Amino acid sequence: MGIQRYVAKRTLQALLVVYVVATTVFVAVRSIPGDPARLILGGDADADAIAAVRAELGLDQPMYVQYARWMGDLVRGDLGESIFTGEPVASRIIGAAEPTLSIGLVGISIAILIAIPAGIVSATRRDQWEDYAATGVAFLGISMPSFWIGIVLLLTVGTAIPAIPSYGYTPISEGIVPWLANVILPATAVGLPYAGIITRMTRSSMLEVLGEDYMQTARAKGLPPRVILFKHGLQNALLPVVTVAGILFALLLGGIVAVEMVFGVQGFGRLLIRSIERQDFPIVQGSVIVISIIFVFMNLFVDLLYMSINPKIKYGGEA
Amino acid sequence: MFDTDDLEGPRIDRRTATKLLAAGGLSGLAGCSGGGDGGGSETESGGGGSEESTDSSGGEEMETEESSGGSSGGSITAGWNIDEIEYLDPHYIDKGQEIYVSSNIYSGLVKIGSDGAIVGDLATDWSLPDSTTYVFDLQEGATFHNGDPLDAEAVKASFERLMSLDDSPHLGKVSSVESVTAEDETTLRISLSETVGPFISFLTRGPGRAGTIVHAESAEANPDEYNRMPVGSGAFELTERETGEYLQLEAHDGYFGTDDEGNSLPYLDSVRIDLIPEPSTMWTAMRGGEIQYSNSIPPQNAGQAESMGNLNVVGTNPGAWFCIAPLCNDPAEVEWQQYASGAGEPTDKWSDEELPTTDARVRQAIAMAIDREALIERAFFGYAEPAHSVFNPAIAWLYEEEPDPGQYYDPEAAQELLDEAGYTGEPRMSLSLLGAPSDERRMTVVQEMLSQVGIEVELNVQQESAYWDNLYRYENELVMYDGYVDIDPWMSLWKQLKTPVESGSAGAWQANLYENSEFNDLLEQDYGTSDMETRTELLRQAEELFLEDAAWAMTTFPLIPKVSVSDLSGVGNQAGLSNFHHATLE
Amino acid sequence: MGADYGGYGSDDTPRLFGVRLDRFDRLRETLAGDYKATFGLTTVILFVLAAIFAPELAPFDPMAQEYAIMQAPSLSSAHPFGTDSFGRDLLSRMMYGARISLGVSLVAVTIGAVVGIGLGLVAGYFGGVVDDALMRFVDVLWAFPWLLIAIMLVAVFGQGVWNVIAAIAFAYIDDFARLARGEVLSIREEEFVLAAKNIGLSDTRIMIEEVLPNAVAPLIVQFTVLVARAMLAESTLSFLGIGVKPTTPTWGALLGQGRSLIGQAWWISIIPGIAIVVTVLGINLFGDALRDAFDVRGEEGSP
Repeated sequence: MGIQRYVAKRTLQALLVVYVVATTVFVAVRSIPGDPARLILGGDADADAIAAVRAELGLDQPMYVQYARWMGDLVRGDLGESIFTGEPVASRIIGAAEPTLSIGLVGISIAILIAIPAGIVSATRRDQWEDYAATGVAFLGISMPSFWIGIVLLLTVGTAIPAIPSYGYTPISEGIVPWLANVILPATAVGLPYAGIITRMTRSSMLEVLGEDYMQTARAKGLPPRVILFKHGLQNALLPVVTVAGILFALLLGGIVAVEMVFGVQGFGRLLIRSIERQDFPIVQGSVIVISIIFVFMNLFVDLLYMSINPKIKYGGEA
Repeated sequence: MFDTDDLEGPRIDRRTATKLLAAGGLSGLAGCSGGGDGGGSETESGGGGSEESTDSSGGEEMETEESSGGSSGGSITAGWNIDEIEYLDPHYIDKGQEIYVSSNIYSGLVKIGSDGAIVGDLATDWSLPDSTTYVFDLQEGATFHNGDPLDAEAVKASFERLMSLDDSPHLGKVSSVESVTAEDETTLRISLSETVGPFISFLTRGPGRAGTIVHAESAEANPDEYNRMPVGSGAFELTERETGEYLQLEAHDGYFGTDDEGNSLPYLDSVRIDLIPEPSTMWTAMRGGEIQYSNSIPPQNAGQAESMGNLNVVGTNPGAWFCIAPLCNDPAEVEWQQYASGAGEPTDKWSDEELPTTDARVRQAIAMAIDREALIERAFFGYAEPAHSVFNPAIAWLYEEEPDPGQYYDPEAAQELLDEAGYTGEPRMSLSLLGAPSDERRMTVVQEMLSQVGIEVELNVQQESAYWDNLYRYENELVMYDGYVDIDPWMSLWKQLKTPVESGSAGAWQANLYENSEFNDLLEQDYGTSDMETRTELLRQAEELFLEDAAWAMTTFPLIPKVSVSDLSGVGNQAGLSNFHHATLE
Repeated sequence: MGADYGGYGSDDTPRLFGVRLDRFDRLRETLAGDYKATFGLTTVILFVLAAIFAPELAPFDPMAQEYAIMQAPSLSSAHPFGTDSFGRDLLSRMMYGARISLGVSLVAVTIGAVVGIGLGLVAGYFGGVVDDALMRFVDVLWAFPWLLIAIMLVAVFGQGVWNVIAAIAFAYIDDFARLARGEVLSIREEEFVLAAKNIGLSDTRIMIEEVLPNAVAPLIVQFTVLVARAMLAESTLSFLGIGVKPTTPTWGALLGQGRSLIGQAWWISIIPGIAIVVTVLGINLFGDALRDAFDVRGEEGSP
């Protein structure tokens, strides 16, 4: 099937998935026992005040009415306002997203910077000490909970080096260096497990590639080994890495939340958890939509990228 | 009855102030006790419950705090234990952490001085020509942060604004105000329709809320914006903030407050309040020097703080109490349960399941099974006082450190009572204990203690919103319950334990379906009198009933540790506040 | 695999549930020589034993709050790993914690596997509309951030071990489904399957008796990888306080409880953390060795 049709089909499917997820969350979050109105007013509120606030927030309407309203707003691009602060959901999410994205991006960058060279070394020096060392460390990285790494970093680097703050987040607007200093510890905590994975992947795909026929052909042709390595080997080896990196980025949420907690960063994860606890429905719904969209479309993008780099793979038919 | 003499300015002595604040059901006051073991020195006076004799110092400045020690200037970063300041409009504020901010950026007619006395803030003096009239003499030349004059007209406008808000939780405090008149620029007259003893305490800056002066024009023009970036007239101005991150306070040059020697306050140039809801992060930041002050650190870290030479710790009493509230009656058999819970159909869970806590002996046994000292050590790390009866230290006129009768640790007696009540199995009974995540530590300790007397407890931890929901479904035999800023028997007894009626404040907060008609009668008599001696007598009788019935198993009165670096002194912690007016940095 | 008529042909190689046993010989040989496998397996077995025999092995009652609080670990004292902030022995709590952490992970992944493989089998085998529908369903599951599910389950149903299990199982269904489906797609055209169809066996029987056993290898590898991930996931949930009840001593919970005391009692967080790392490492190494042995090429599992 043509590429355009394929993209269209996948996009539609992606939107469908997002829709289903959003709706499920809409219902689920309203099934949580408890009443946001009561939370807003404090435990000492009386029944009348609570009822008044519920009406104000539109929470007394039947669920399908609330749903219709929400859908209507959504289609117009309006994510609503927070029940608690009245702040528009979109700006709240963007505000909370900056720290999380910073940690994620820096984390993945650190991971890639460490892992790809390590993986290459590991593959080219297979079964020698460099290989064992890199592999060992990689496995260790995969096996450590990122928040534990965070705690260890906090205890060691955080307290030893005053220049590196051990909590909070400094926005980029205050300068690249302060931003980086504040982000480096949580980013490392998040990035190390991924470094482990990417090392292993790079290693195994490099190994595969090194043994491929066309590599031998290239050698036979007399091309110098380094050229072979970088030109042919690396490109093909990086293919799976690219796909996984894309998926990993979208999967960051789980690991980042706990790290945010350790370092006291008021990021997206924290926002989500707090909003669920407080039953701030609009924020929960908005966040879930954002996450699903990122997730689903990131994967689509990665798939397309993969396809474009390697047209041998056919999509749309059966494997 | 309060003597009008007692109520007049320029300063209301601490004993009277205590009674006033108590009668008005307002925020914790004289009960600032030092917590822990004599760690760091403190700038605050006040042990729980002790009172000082009156001393009217006249003159301009009301504070008897230390005067300008240290150099002026300097900026600090302070950690605030909350993730978002939602309300800065004092007519809507209801959280302690918000009050602690507002106390720095607003002025009131009066305020709570460092030693717990009510002294003048914007008002330099005041008098009561008769028991329903208050006349205030105001500071000259005071201004708001935006330069507008802070005169009697402005104060009048602020009151009128509050009285026009029908959704403000503080409306009740000005419900008997008949008129507010600005007689001239610096004279304000307030007339009430009836005598309201504690009225003066409503006018304190911060805890009083009603008397916190807002810039009425801005507040009315754009209430949401005002709530976010208010215009006040206090020592500091809010110049910048980022939701969920920080608030930047800059010293207000035109602030009318001065110290004893006439130097203008505040000493500091600016205070940046970082919002750090995560206790461990707060402690890390404090320890690492990233913040110079924390308005609340976890008690487990307070011990460490005490041993660090460069930190000072003070344990403050915010007028709080913790207890275990046992379900006293089956909701299905109590027609009035809906008035408290707002729920229609009560649960029928107890129709075929036993509810042991309806037996007063069982409740008493629970109260006696709690080793309060051990609980304080394990769950509070020393930062609490044991609670043997219902009156906490901030209700200075009723609190007793070792009341007799009272609830004391006596596991053998507890077991005997349980035997007597017929629960002799192994375990004697299985109960479910409801609590919120912040109660987890206490619940863990309580669970173990109750198991020692043969009561098996299952922990049911619910998120806050679900906690209330669960509570009012009355499906748990035991509930971790507490009150904050709870300083008058009116709050703890009248609103919590009296039997609710369809409308009105009686029993409006009933959590565990306690009912005792004699108790109710005593409370009604108490409500109808403002004579302190009569009130004391009535309330002591009510207390006896409370203890006999073990309506609650009291556990502790917690203390909140506040920490500052030793270079920083002069932070006012009365009433659990964090006032930076007199703060100086070495 | 070779020409193989699934028990209906003339091949006499010994089998267990239709899978050729000689494959396991090769497996055993490969594993024995592989250091990763030995280390991994030994570690895991040690922890599993500790978990199973916790009541006998643990020196103290994990809930007893009688001892001095926050005692530092020391090999000479009665509390080699120290005590926590309630005065409970850390070693005992860790042993009991092993039961729950390992148990939760195993059960969760098993449930995810059963459901996921079931879905994948059916989808791959029947293809067409069934395949599309099921795979779309799997897509939706996959798009749900598992953390969100965990939080909601706890919010609605309260804390408890089963909510954690459910959330984790949920997260892995799509992994198994896709993997199983992929395997099935490549197997179903094999001759022995066609032969079985010709003979007239029911679809269910074919799926379970013919297809599944031969798809098993990568699934087993995936299983071990996911158990490791599940342990990390469980520890994350417990650390965040979303999951088991506060007194339940899972390793993640122990870590979480120690977090606020890091400055004074580092062992409460660090030691359970080490246990998690070692166990997960062991499982990962073993899983990797299995993968090598089965000569399976698949995606490296991502956490």
